[in-house]
Amino acid sequence: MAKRIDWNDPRRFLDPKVIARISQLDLRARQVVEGFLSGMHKSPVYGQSVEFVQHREYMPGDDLRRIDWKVWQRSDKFVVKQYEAETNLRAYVVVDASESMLYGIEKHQRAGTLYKYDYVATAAACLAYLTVKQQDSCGLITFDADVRESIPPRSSIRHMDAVTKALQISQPREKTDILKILRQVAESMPNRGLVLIFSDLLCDREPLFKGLEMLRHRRHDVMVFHILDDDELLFPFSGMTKFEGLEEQPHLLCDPRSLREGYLEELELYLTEVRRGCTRIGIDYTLLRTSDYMDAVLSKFLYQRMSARANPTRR
Amino acid sequence: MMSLFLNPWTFVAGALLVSTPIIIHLINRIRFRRIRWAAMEFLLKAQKRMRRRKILEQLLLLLLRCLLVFLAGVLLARYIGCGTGEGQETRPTTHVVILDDSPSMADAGRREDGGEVEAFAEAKRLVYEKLMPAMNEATTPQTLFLVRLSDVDRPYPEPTKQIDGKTVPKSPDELRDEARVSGEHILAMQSYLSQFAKPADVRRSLVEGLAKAQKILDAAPANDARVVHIISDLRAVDWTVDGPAIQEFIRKFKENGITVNIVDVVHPVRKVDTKSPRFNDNLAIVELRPRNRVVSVNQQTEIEVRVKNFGNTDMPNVRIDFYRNEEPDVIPTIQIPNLPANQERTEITTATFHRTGTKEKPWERFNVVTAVLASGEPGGLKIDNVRRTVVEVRNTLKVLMVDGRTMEGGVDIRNRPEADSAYLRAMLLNPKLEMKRHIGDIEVINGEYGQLEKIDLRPFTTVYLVNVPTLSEAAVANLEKFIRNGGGVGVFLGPNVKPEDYNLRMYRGSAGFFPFPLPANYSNELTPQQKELRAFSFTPRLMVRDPAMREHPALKGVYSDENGRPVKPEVIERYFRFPIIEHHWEVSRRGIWRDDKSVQELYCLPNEAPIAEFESRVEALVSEIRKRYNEPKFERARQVLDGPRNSRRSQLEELRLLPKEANPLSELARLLDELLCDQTNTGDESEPILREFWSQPEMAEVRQQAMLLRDEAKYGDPLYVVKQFGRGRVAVMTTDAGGTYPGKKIWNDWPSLSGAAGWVVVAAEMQKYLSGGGEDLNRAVGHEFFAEFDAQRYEPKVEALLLLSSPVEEAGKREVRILEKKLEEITMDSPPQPPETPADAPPRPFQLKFANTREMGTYIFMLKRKKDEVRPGTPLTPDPLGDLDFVGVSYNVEALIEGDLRRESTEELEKHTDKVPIYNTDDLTWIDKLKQKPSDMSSRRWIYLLILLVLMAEQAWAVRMSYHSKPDDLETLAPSAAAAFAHTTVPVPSANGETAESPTVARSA
Repeated sequence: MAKRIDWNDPRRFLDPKVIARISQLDLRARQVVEGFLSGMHKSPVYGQSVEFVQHREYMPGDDLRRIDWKVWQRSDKFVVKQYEAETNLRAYVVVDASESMLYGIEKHQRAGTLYKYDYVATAAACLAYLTVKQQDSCGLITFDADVRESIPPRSSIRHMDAVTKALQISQPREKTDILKILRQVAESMPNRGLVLIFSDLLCDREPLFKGLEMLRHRRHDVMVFHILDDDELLFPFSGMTKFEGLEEQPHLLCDPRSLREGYLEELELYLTEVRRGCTRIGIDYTLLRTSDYMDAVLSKFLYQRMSARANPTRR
Repeated sequence: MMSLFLNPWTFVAGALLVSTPIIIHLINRIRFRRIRWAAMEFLLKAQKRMRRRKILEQLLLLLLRCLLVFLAGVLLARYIGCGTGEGQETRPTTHVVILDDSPSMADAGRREDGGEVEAFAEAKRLVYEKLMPAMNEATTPQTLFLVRLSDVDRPYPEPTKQIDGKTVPKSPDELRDEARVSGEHILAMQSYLSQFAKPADVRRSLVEGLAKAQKILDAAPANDARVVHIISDLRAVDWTVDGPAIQEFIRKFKENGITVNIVDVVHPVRKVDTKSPRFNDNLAIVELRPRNRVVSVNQQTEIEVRVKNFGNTDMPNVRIDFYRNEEPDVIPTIQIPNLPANQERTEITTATFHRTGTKEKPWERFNVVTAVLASGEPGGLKIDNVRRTVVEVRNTLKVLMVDGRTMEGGVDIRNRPEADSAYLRAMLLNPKLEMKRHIGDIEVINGEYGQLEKIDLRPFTTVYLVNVPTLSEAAVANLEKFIRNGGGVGVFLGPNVKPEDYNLRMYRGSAGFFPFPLPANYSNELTPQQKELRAFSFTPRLMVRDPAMREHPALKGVYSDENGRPVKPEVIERYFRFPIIEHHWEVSRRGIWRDDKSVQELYCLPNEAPIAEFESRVEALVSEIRKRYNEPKFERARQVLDGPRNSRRSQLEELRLLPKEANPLSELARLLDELLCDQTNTGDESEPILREFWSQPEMAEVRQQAMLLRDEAKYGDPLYVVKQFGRGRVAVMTTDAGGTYPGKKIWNDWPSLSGAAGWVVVAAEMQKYLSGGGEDLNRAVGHEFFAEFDAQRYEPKVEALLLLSSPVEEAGKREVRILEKKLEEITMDSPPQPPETPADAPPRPFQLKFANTREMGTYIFMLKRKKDEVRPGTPLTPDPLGDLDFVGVSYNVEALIEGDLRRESTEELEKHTDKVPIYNTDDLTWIDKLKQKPSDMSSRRWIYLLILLVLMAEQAWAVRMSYHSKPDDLETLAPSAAAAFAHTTVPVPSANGETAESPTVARSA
């Protein structure tokens, strides 16, 4: 039974089922971002000029130009004005295009929903669009065993075409080599920037964490969007089933109901490990599922951005 | 294998079905779908981790499902079981049902639902409603014979038939056809049993029933299976009496492959765990008998009634009413204030009878006394609340007087004062009025001891042998028969007695009726000094050795007043101080005759041996006492025994010196009596001290010594001895009855002179005692009456009459009505003479055998005398009522056994029956065996229970194996995944395992 659309719901455009109907990725991104922004009562974006943040008592060595004389005049105290640093944000969207991201493609296509890669491609495009729309520059890397597409960061809106095109042509295949990719990303980013990783992280945890640490080591802000299919989270199968492993994994014939408990336990162990690892390294981690509304990603991103501005020392 | 199932092909199908779960599993393995799966890592790990456990779990589930299918298959295939098939009978079967219809089966018990049900009715229903229908379902021919215990000789179907008025036996095939269990037979059985509305009055032992069953089964075809069903109330008393015999039968049955089933039909039912089943209280009159079975008109006799409380609770105010024929209130009622549980009481009432019969109804000389338990009882049997007895009333009681001396100098001296029996005759013929009331009108008939064998003694109540020298063997046999049938014989031993003949024929080493052997000679004549000593001695000349003997029936009247109240022995025995018994037969004081329980010494003479013989023993006794009394606790006794006594010698000193001073032995006995204080009470204040002294344990030995010495010094030779012989009684005086012998010599002056008052009382009581024998204590219905009658005197045909006397209650008033029922004429048996009998020998007596005593009442047999019968000893006065002689006997229920309703404990029953199963009427599942239909598992509850349990286990296991997803299992198993669905972030566990808040919390708007 088709779900009735609530026309008053501002999130109606963020439903993956709705988004899936839009074939053009750029349109899809625009649709999502615009829909997202228009649903918010107040834009979380405060402007692009240099903005005063707070006063601080003058300490020897501080730049005398930053003393707020008006305050001195009123209170005979030296205080220093602190401003939000005006930076040109360089964001890299790193999208996993390995074979595992293709899981459930037929099923999702039949149902008109998003499969993992579809979902992350949309999310990546949305973020790229949002970033560019904020006058920041955004680049894209898609990868499997190697870097498949690499688009350097640009802040022009036309740049979005290249991004979306790169996402569309990077159809998943082959196995992931996450360490190698993250190393390349780290090396290819000369300045500090924001790295947004979209992956199902179905790889060895050790190289993953190594790669992430490497990024953090270079003082990049890293956000990991961990995408999993609903099936992977719920394991709802029944009946005798032969699971054919993607990315060169072995096959298994079993009654999935009998393994569900063990599967879920192993999944939990894995998710816990990943989350704990990200937290340890200081990386924002978000678990996404393919049925999630797209605002989950955008909210997370904006929230992270606001946190970064409000608390620059955290970096 | 296939024979173990009633539906074997279903079992085959079931066996195939067992593999269904496996087949389903294999098919599932062939048919699978494919999924290209990314997260194989977790799946593989899960599979690796859970593989062994899952396999075991799956196998268990598979096993449970297979078991379920297997059990269902077994159920549908109707598995008989390996063990049960062995006991299954497949042969034609002959059943014998022994139905206990004894009076105790009338007891009604309460069912668990509160309803009251009679055991007999339950037993009958069991036969035609349960047993026979079950047998009728059997696939093989079933034959059933029913044996009622009260009438074991007439099983059902009856083995005989009537053809042209003649009774002929049925052929075996005919009998078996009739006994074949069928619907028709069941109806016939129901009809047959319904004619017995209540149990029979007759009690027969189960042993007889088992013997009959054995006989029936022996006649059954050899290849038949044989089963005996005992349906009974299983009273304890039955098994106490017949337990070993029953056990032997059951053992034999088992050996011969005969199955025995015992069913207890009494409520409350006997369950497996019931050790001692409950039973009803019951009160019964267990005995009713007159002291005299034959009395004369207006003679007072005592009626003894024994009542027993068989229950476990006391019965207050027990009242017994008596009816003389149909008359109430002429015999005093007996009231017992309280009859304790399991106790019995014997009470006596008195009755006088007047009815002697008429010419039309000469049998009316038999007066029926009916005792009825008037106070009622809660529950219990009714049949034992009534008991009847019969008293024959004659105008005169005939006494045969046989004197030793009949003719002297050609003159019959029997009616002269010097006759041997003169005083006895006088006492019997001319008693005082009070005495006459007790002994009745007596007709004395003389008899010759030489012809005693020819006299028919039946008409006599008593025979006296007075100074009879000897009796021939035939005469002794005649007498013994007379006594065994209830007659009384009084013997007075005079100088003519030939002891060797007495010992040889009458005593016969205690086998004869005479109670003791006689010595070679009677006692010596007394010297004038001895006579003088006796005349002035105050020592009683007659003594009672055992005080309990004063209660003996032969003496009880002596020690009672005219109203039957006891009189102090001293009052009576003061009359025994005066008679002088000069001669007596010195019967050995000790001897094997004393070991005979039927012999009792009532009176003895004092010991008159020289006192010097006791000197040493007295010395020894005094010395022993003195040795012991020095203990401080005996100080008071010492003062009494050896202290000064009013200027007389001390008690012990007097005792010690007595034998040395030529005193009579009676004096020693008196002193010893004083010392022991156990028989003579003078009221002396020292008596309690001495009693206490003798009661000390350390004095027991000396006391025994003193008592023995006292008894030896006090009691001499026996004087009056009685013996119970058969149903009759014998009384013997070791001296004569006051005869006077040539030279005016007398043996004793007891009947004649100063002691006569005592003698008359003793002799009258002897007469009463001797005429009172013969009544059976318990002549129980169903037992054969047997008597022998002189073939020369009577015709062989005997008429019989039954007087039924049962209380009838109408409008709260009870009446006893006597109904006369004429019975079939009986022909007495005439047994053939043994070989080598002389041709001139008299014919053997007729034998009256009457077995049809099935009804309670009084049976009267009328024997017709031959017309030309004139024999010595014939009563002088012909019977005015005709030429008939009568025998009357009362038959009652066997209350002593049937009244005892205690039920045998299950444990004891198991012992008696070698663990034959005891069934009850509530659980009749065992009857299914009779159907010969193998009972399969589908008829047993446990198989369904087992299937249910397996089903529950399978379901529980299947649910546990979690194929049925629960809403919260994701939350439990994978909280991170669950949080992703809920758009929350799971707290990140810290390194030490504790959870910490995530630095970032994403929550969708």
